[in-house]
Amino acid sequence: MALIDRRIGLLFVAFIALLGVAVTRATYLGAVRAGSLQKAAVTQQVTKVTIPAVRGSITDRNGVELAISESAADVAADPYLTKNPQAEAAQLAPLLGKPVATVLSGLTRPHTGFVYLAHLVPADRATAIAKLRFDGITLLPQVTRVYPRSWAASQVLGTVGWNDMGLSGLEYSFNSVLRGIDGVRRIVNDAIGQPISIDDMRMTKPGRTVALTIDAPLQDEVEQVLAGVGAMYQPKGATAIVMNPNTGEILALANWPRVNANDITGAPAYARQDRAVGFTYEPGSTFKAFTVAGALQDQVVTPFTQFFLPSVLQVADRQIHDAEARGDETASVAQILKQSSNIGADEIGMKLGAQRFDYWVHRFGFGQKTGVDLPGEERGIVLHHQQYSGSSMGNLPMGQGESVTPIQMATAYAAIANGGVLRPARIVKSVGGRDLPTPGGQRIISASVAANLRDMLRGVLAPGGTASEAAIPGYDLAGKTGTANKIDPATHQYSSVNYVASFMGFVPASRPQLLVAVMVDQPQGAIYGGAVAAPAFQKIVGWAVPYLGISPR
Amino acid sequence: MTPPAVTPAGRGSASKSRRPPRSGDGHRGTIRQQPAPKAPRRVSGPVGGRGAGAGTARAAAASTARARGATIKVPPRTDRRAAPSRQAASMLARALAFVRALPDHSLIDRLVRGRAWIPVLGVMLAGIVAMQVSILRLNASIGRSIERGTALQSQNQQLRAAVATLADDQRIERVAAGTGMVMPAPAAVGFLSGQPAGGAGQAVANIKPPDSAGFLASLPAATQTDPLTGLSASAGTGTSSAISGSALSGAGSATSVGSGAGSVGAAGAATSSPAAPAGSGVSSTAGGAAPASGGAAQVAASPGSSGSGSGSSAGSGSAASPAGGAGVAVAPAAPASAGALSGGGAGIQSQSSGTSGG
Repeated sequence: MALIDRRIGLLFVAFIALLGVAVTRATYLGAVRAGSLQKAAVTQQVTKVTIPAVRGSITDRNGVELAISESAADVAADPYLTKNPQAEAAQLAPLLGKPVATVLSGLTRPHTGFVYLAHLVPADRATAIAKLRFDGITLLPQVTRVYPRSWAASQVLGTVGWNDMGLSGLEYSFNSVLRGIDGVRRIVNDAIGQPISIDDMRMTKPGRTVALTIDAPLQDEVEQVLAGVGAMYQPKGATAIVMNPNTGEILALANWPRVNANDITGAPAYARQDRAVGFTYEPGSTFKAFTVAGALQDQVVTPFTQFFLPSVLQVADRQIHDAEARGDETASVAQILKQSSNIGADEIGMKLGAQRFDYWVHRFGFGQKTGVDLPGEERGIVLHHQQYSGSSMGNLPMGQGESVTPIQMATAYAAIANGGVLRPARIVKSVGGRDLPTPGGQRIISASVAANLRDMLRGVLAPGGTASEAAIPGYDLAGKTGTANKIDPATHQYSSVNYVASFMGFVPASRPQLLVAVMVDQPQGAIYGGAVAAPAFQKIVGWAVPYLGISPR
Repeated sequence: MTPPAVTPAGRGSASKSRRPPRSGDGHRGTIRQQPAPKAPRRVSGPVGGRGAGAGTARAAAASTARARGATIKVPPRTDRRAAPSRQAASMLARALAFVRALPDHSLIDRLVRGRAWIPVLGVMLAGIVAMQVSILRLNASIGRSIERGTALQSQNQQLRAAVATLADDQRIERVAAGTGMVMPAPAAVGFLSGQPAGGAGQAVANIKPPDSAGFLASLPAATQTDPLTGLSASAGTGTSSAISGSALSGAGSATSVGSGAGSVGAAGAATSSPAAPAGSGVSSTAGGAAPASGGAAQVAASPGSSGSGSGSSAGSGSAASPAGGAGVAVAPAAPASAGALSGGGAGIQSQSSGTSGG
């Protein structure tokens, strides 16, 4: 019995000793080495991953997606953990879309534990890379921006940088809405790297969808028409705007040269500009409508007021000619618009007076931003009447000497088309499913004056008008051509070879539902608005009227 | 083991030991037990508290007054609300006493001394471990679900991009051109006034073959050439005829075709896409006489609008003007070179303009 008790006692002592060793070791690990072990555990088992928010889509007015986000991944490597760099590089290179040598140099880079192998690798390829299960290869979730209609409205939509920040266009101006809020996910892995716990510490909040007023099929057609203009006249650039003059909604806004939104860096800087808001030019004859509008509203003239038009008009030190040489003649205000007489426009402007002319120029919104939702809008350059020189009234009424943007011209013409209300153009229809309010308009001319103007502008497309060839049988069209000299940057004089050809028109003239503005910068071969821009107007209207179900007359 | 002191037997011994202490020299102590102070005899009213005090005072005052032979008004009783609180305090005290006595309860004693608690404890420990394992499994499952959700979301985004790419109108135009369909030139689509009889006759008279060469020339190339020319097409917009059917049916294109063959005509009708926006409805039926004649062909390339009157079409050279429609649009037929359109008939797309007569 005593022997048994002794053995039990020894066993008890042995257990106590082992327990003491364990307690000592635990104390050592838990107290002395607690800090370093805790750090190691956190590093090896707990990871916090930022889950990028899916950027909101940009759609057209009917929900057709123009810009969407796709999951992607940045691929990084830890050269310290890479076991077989050559073999891994050979398998990774085609998935990363990079040469094997480039990948291999990344995998074997010395003195570093982190190397980016590729950015924004598409999700399917990233999945394939993950399935390779190479040690040291890490996939960092990202979101990449995709423009399914690569060439459509590229300058309007803009671009997004690596960090999901909008850099230009609507991507920039609506970045805060589109971007959303990134989430944070805490992942605890077990000893073999399998996740045993995934917690969303901060939920990802996706960006909101921005719906535009643009109509995608119409946008495509307008782009195609501009492409035809570009191919035929090889201009420096071109812009076309299609809008509903009654609401200010932009239905299409195209720029040429076209830019592939998925490869924005492949285009030169001037091609990336949205010329509708960022390009200023002297409008030329398209501006005469506003000179006449002011004179009509001030009751200085009527459509039938006759003016004597000399063959040459001397204003201070300038001699004003019409585009085509002619003798002295008498013409009504309507005829002056129809034939786009420079001298006639000057006569009307001078009868209106510099102060009132200046008033009407500003009244139509020139010299200030229209307020459209597009970034980078220029104000243009419009002098105050006190800054006029002696010859200013010799060129301002006919559209020289002031600088405007295509969107300003379209907005001002929309006021004529809709009965006299100047309303800011808008390109964003809704954000996050909520319609944005239609901006209020401001009446600037009476409905009767606007109707008189539209009636006079019909003549431009009638036989004998400057754009008669752009007429479409059965369509009640109205518009105005414009051909303006550009300033030669070398001589600072008006160039005799470089022009801006433009056309502003709407349909139907009696009750306009559609306004089309076309501006072609430095066309080659032909220079006149009636020859270069008006045919584009014709094609756009001919397609859009039946498509939109608009009455042609 | 439960100490005997806390058992009932122990308590008994403890009560027995509640004797006067003995002195260290073994002599009995000389301390005399003091009688317990008696509480004042209860006269009336509740025990303790202000009420009791008041009753005592009242009794004392009354006896004093009787002793003096004077008449003294005894103040009325004012507070009877203290009774429930005293009862509650009493119950609390009893409950406390019960809890204190619970460890000494015989039932608890037997239970603790028994062996049944060992398997109970083991089961509980196993349950805890199982619960922990279950939580780990659940966490892993949640993790997999989250990963799967992320993958599906990614896949969904890719599919959306594919749908948007396939719905590109220019791509559809190219595919349609590959199957022989032609978009009429803008000026070739005429609008007539709304007299049904005269309009139909004039529509028939205006039927002309569309300029297929002009249309095909205006199509952007399918492959990228020079981005600055604007004549380039986006990647993934090839003119594969294998996908043309699904593209036409799902993309909301405004292009459709009727054919001399009735079945193809029906297919054309089916291509009126549900995805097409309101106002861009496509009339694509080869009219009632078309299949029978075998010669009706139509290119409804210029989309009509549901808001401007119902579009209708008729084959075999007869144009049907919509009742009450104000105008008729005539889309010339596709060229005879198009295989599907070789029946030789003319298709007419009718569309009201809504300008006159309404």
